[in-house]
Amino acid sequence: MSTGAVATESPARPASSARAGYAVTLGLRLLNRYSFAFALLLTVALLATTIVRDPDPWSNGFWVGLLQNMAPMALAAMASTPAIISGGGGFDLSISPLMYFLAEVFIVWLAPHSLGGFASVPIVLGLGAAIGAFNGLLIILLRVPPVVATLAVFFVLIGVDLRMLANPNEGGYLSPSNWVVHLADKVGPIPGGVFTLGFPLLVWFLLGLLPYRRTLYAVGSNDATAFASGVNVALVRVVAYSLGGLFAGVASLALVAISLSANPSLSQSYTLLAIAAVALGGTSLWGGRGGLFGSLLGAASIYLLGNLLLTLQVDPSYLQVMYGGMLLVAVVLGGVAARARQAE
Amino acid sequence: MTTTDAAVPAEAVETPPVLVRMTAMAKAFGPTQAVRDASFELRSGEVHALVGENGSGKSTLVKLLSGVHAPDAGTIELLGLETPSLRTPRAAQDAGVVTVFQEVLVAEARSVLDNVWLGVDTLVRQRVGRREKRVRAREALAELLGRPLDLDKAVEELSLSERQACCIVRALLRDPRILILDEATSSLDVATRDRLFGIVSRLTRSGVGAIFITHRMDEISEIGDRITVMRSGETVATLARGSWTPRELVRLMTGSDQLTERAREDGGAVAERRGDVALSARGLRLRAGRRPMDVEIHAGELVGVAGLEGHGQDAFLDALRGAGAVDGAIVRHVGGRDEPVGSPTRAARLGVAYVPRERRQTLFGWMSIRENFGMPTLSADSRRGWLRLRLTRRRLNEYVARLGIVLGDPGDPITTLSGGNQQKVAISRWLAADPRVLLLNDPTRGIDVGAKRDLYALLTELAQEGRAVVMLSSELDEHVELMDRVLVFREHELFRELDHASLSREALVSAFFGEDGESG
Amino acid sequence: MSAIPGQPAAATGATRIWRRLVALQARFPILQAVLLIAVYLYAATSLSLSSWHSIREILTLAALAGLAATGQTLLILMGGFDLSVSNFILASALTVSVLRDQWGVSYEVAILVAVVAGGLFGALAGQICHRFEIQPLIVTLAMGGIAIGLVQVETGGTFAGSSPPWLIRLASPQSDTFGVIGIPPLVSIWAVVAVLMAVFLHRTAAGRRVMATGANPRAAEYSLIRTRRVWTLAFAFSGVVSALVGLLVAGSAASVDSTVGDPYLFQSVVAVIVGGTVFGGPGDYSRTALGALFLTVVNFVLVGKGATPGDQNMIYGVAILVAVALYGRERRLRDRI
Repeated sequence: MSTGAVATESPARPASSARAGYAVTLGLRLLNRYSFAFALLLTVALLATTIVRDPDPWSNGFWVGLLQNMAPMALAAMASTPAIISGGGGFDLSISPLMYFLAEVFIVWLAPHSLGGFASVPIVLGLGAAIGAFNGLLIILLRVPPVVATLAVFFVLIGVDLRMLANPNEGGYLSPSNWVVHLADKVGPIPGGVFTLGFPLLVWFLLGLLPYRRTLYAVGSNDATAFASGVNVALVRVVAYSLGGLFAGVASLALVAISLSANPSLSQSYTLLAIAAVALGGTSLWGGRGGLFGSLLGAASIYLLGNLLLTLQVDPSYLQVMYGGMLLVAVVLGGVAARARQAE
Repeated sequence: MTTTDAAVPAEAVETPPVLVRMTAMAKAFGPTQAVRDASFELRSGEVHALVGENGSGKSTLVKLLSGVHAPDAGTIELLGLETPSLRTPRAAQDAGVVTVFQEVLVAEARSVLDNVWLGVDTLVRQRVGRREKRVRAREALAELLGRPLDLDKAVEELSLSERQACCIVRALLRDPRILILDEATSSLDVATRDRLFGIVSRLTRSGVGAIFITHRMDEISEIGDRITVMRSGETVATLARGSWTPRELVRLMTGSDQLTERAREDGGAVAERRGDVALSARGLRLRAGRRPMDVEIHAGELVGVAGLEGHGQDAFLDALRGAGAVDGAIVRHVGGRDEPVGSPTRAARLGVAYVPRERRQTLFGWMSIRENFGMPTLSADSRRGWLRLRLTRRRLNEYVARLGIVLGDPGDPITTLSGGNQQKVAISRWLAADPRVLLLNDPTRGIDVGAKRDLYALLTELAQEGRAVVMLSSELDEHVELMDRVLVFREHELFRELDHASLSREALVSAFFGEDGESG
Repeated sequence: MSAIPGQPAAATGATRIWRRLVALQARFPILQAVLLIAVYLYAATSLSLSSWHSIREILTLAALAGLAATGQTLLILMGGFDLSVSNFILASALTVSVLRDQWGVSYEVAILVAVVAGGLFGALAGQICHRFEIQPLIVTLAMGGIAIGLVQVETGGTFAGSSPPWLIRLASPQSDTFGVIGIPPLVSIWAVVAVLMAVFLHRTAAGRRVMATGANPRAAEYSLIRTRRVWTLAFAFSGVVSALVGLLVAGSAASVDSTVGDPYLFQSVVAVIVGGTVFGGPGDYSRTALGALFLTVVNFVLVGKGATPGDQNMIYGVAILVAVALYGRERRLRDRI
């Protein structure tokens, strides 16, 4: 997308801004190495504040509750990340309704047919990955802009969500004895959130051991260069979208674990939060920079901030304002950083 | 056109095996025929230079071998295989053809190490171990740059020459059988370039064949075993080392054995219409570290801007139109006042019009002819925001007549016009705004002869009306026929200014190549 | 190297006819008109929707969707999406109700506040998008969230207030324009808006600038169009329109819950895209109007056949994909080296 903005209007920069430019360069260099630095600082600060204010922070319940409540949003953010990193205007708007779709598959199709045990995991994850791959193919084969393709799938999935579970009261609830509940509670001594949040991080780590992750970042940074160097850009991108779907599958399990159901009228609710978390976590919307860990931290920051505000008796509606505001601030900062990088 | 093998040394009794043979290649992009009929042969162990002026087709020819484009016609024989699969860059690399492209292609956010090894591994398997990668990358970079380069630094923090070095090392690390260097030395300093030649010599001694595209005469004589000259999409000659002079090369590139119509005014008429200074550049520096320049553009002048691709001509025009430069000031002299030109909008208000090079940049692809024409003059053509289509129509008709634009209905999409007519519309839309200074970036690229003639007549007329015309052109004939003087740019500096009397094709090309410019 | 294509090569008879048809379709939304008529005939016969009463209902619903899609048309013409439509509609309805019921402000002033707020939020979104080159989708998403959050602080999300009788009459399919002409007032308003939009886009300098900014932002800057101003005003316009539609929606519904704006968001996007407006142009509002009519009739058919809102959404998504696959694809990677 081009607005014609930067292209023709900026005249030569005077030398006097050199010193300020140097400081900015240093800051940017740090941020480039550790793109999640800002989100990390934010998370640590907010976490410290939360711990200080909590009456019993060292109880296991604290962490369990924290991770469980944060998980769906953080996972939605992590699911949105690979597509954005893959560049070329990459974006996956369909994550939120996909989460709800997979949750409903679990509740409506799997659990009642005695597939609600561990067998459900590969099914849900596989289905998510397949839908993600479908998104990728739409974008690569039909050459539909990613925003449009995923917007269309967004609409379709919202419809499917409504169709499948129009009324949660009719068979839309999971039995509280289902194993999935542990994901929101504890598995032995370990908070369930560790498993849900840990899965994408583990996958991402493993992909880092392969050449794939490096190649993904290169494609996102400059796809023409990657293509000229012999990379199969199409495959890299389809896999990236597929990963997003895979992580959305984990998100759906986390979702179901908390509420034992999936209310389809809320199927869009994670869209804004996911993007805000991704942007806050340092992933550049232009691709090639950032990572899953940053998105996790971004989500953590947003969640902790919201939590803090609630404990301060702030009206919950202000949270909506805050979310929107954080998204704006995060993308604007990202835009400023990108502009500064170009000017170097 | 056939290639002529001139004076192959008699010592080479045992001719080395042929690595690549391209026969009768052709490639067109839309209406532009980039390669018309080119044949080329590369032997093992040789450095084969490919030379030609802008638009001669050398980069395209090489891209046909690199897997970037598919040829429209012709055959490629690669290492004995009749029809190798060269559908993608990957396929070409697997076949042993490795290219350093003219554009410096890097993944900015990634490290040097990642960049130089990009594309070697598959998505799941590392073909080269991590440690080995570091060692070989470090060695290769040190050999090329003569100093170590931090492998973990992000490429976007490197200078342009270091980035280009990364591109070269990326190619070298692929163990090529055939190495293609397309203007790969353009941003390197002399010492690095020498080291590169040393590396290339080493490779060719072990049987690798290298194709070397360059614009520098000294490089050709130093490294080129054979030279193939291209002109207008055809290969015109192949010469061996020691059997050519720069002058001959220039002649082959420009084809000065062709008859050219010289419709030039004599010197007297030129001097007459030259008026006061309309636009000037003071202390203008187009790239860091280059010499600054002072240029004055007079009213009633036709000034040509020339040079090989990417040597600063674009940057010069950008500066003149107010889009900025590394250093220096642009001043518009109007009505006795000196007005600084700080931005394109300011420039336009001061009567400076700019017609960009690619029609893709100026034209609104899906809009009609009339809509395209009327865009810069929207305010003039409307009353209280309401578009007076009649005004636009009338103005358009004026220019249709004046420029001989061939069109059906002005309401037809702009895409129905031929390239030449599109260009005429693009230019006339600015003429309608009555500019005093007209800057044109390669306006006749890709348009037919008739339209070109019309444009030449128009530009001369404009100069006679007292306007200043500055035109960047990649065609020698245009400079020779039209211009009062030509500014030749080389390596982002104003290398030479040729006045009306000394303008000739040979003088121009010699200047491009940095020669001392004795014309034939 | 790649140029805007010049003369097409000579073609056979069949190809030439096909090309003529395609060219014609590019100028006039023939396909959409044909589909609309086909669907309506089907609806009229199989679902007996041919009574004047039904037609009034269809037209009124189409008018609401079409009005909601006015801003979206501009934004898609400029190459972006406006995802704030649903939230601005809701926020506007809630704002007016809060101002009236809790603060005792007169209805006219409340409307003014809502409209101005919509415009300001929109303008801010446009500025941010242009200045930092961020996708409109994201910025409008954020703006929508902020707007709805601010309003919900006061209202808690729903209201069951009453709209003034004149507004209810205005929004009803059964009223007549000015009480006399046999067309619902909303439809008359829509017709006027459609005419104004056509005039704006095709006959005013400002409209031309919008089209140019979408067609080629760089070329627009070269042609001395202030693209930043265009973006700001277009977004502001979209915000104002959403605010106004919010009022009408409140007028035609007894109560307002938090999902009241969602259908309008979906329908606005689908109406524009199915109507045949391409990202960055070409396109215009008459196509959107056709798209809105088509959409509404299809909805009636679907509902008549027992389809749920979920089914409708699925069809929206598929329709977008089909339309974009036909109309708006991107360049290949190898052409960019």
